[in-house]
Amino acid sequence: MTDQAERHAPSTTYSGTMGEPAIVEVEEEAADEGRKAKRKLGTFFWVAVGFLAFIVLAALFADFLPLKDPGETFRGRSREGPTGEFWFGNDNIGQDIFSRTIYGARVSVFVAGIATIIGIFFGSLIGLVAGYFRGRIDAILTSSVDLLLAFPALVLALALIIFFDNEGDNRRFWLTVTLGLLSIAPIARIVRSSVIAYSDREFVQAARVLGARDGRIMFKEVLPNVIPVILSYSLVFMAVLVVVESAIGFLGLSVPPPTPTWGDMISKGRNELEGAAHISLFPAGVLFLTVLALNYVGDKLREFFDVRESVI
Amino acid sequence: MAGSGTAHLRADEDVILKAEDVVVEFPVGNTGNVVHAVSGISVDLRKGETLGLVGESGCGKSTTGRAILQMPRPKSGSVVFEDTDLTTIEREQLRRTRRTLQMIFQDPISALNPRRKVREIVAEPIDIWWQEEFPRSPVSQAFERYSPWMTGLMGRLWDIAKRAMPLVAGALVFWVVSQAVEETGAEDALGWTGVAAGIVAAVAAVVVVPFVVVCVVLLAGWALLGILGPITNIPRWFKMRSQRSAFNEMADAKVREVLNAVGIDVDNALERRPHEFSGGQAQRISIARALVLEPEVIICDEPVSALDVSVQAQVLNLLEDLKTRYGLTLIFIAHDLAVVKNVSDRVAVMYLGKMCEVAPPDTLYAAPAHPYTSALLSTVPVPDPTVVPSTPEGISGELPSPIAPPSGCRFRTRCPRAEDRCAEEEPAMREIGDSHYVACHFPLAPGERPVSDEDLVATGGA
Repeated sequence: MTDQAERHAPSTTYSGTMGEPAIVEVEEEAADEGRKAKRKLGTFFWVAVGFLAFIVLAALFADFLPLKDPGETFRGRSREGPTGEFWFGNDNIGQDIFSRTIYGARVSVFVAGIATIIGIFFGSLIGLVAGYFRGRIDAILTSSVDLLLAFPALVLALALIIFFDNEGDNRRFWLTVTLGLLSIAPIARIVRSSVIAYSDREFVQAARVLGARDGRIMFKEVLPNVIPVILSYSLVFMAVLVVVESAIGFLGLSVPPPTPTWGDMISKGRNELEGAAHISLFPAGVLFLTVLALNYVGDKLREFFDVRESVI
Repeated sequence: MAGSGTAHLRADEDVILKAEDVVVEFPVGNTGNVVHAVSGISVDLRKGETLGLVGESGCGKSTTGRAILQMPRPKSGSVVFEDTDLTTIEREQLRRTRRTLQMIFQDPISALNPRRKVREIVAEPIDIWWQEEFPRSPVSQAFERYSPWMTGLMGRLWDIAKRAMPLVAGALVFWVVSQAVEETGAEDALGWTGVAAGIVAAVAAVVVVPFVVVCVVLLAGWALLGILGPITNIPRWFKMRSQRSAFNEMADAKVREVLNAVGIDVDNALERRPHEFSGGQAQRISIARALVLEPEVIICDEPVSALDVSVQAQVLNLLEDLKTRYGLTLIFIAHDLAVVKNVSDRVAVMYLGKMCEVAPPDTLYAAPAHPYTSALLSTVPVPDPTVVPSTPEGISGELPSPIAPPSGCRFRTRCPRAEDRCAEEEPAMREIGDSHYVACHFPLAPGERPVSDEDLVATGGA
């Protein structure tokens, strides 16, 4: 030890309890401050989360809420604007738009949500395998994904829905499956590019030197780094799917009446835009706010989960 | 310098690692060119010794270190570790051998997963090998065994399919044309089209249909194994779970031991993530992780280059200390000659993928025989304010392109002593003194005026 001390003067003690306690303290504070700064998500974030929570809860418990029957037509009230009794007014056959909007969220939000989960599951798997192994596996998977992306999404969605469910007797299920299938490709692309960035990192090589199997490296080293990206994109994706579902509903191919859907409601009001704009505008407004909230929350969460990586 | 040759390898009993004529090449995009990163490097390691590997940036020293670990596998050459040639053994066997060969990386922050806690990072190696003690189900093992084979096969089939694409497209076009001809009744005039289309379609059917069927069957079987694998592993998972807490205790003790050994304040560190540490601390954690498996050889890839000077000394002292405590053998890769001199028992100088000179540090630094070594040493700063550095820019000239390295001796384009012979004949390693080896046609004699960096020939982008 004396020999080495001479070699590398000034020799600093490094062993055990003496090891840089002062530095640890200072960094601890800095890290805590950093964490506190990061914890701030802003008021608007919580407003958005609150709105989404309201939509989801209202849709879930619509049956138990003191809402009017969405199918009931109130005679003599058609095209009437918002009143104390009918908050969003009535549509062209006198149904309660507020109640229909809440019930419509069931289709929009749940179809989009479950489709996103399907897309995330398979898309992440494909992206993870393609990005981690690279080479020809990547070539095969990426070109299949590109093939899917080359079709105009809405046209493909319509074609698939008709193909799966021509009779319309299980539209909700097949709509979800179709949207799920369609979201696999873009999610796989996003995940793949993110995985590639992490697979080159030295901690992945370190794991390989330690003898970890490919599966373990993929799921324990790479995936945890990619999950925040996946999660934040999943919300943005759900927003897209809500819009797509509404577009399909607008074209009359979503869940058939009498079940209310947002797209169908907007479509019904389009001929009345001059006289009774509220018929379209209220569901469209809720749709707009939902999409905005999803996008905003998704973006904020991505910022939030961005890991600080200190530079030496 | 271009020294190939293996004269400097020793035939001792206690040589535990011997790499011979290792060649690593990387393709340059799709141009067909290759980067000759490492061209025939030979090194050997005695048990307990530290080999220093020095050279300019881009000379292939890190690649050499990684090639020894088979990351990636070298194009040719052999790496014999304890009587096993790592370049030829199977993937699975390699994975098992590799835990006795560990690596420490240059950027300690990048070498630690930012999402995991220090406890998990250091316990990871133990966890990996603990889980190996629980055998996987036969289905899962079969899946693992066939996966590389399957992916290789699929890749080859994919290449064939890509090449067959024009054939399929051609068949389609012929078919469409022949249909159109039939429709318009111009059959008699263009009868050959129909015949040709028929032939092409028949060939396509005979070739393409079985091809697709085989692909689908293979893929389906593979996918089935892949799905059944995890399901059949469920009992294994339960068994592991039942012993988890006992393992955690054992792992915790081990983690604390190595973290203590590298001088990390254990109680403070365990639940933290890498970004909360300084570079020096993170490098200690990296070292702890490499030590946990009690390896025999550690390849240190510029372990202190990213650290500031005071911390460098600590980490070097630590490595020295651990070396004696754990009986380690080190390969120490660095571009800092002073650092290498202090830690090494033997120093190898590299230039552009070739070995220049191998010698004990004292000999090498006192009497460098290779002009490159000599020039390299003249760039080491002297801690004496009265000494005027010869050139402030350092070594003149640029490293020639490793895509098209110079013929003969690779250093000749910058060498002040180069003659015609250097362009024609590659110098081989030869012994010029007591365990002092050099690959040069015109080495410096001891006591001769050393080559300074001013003497180097500036290469004008050759």
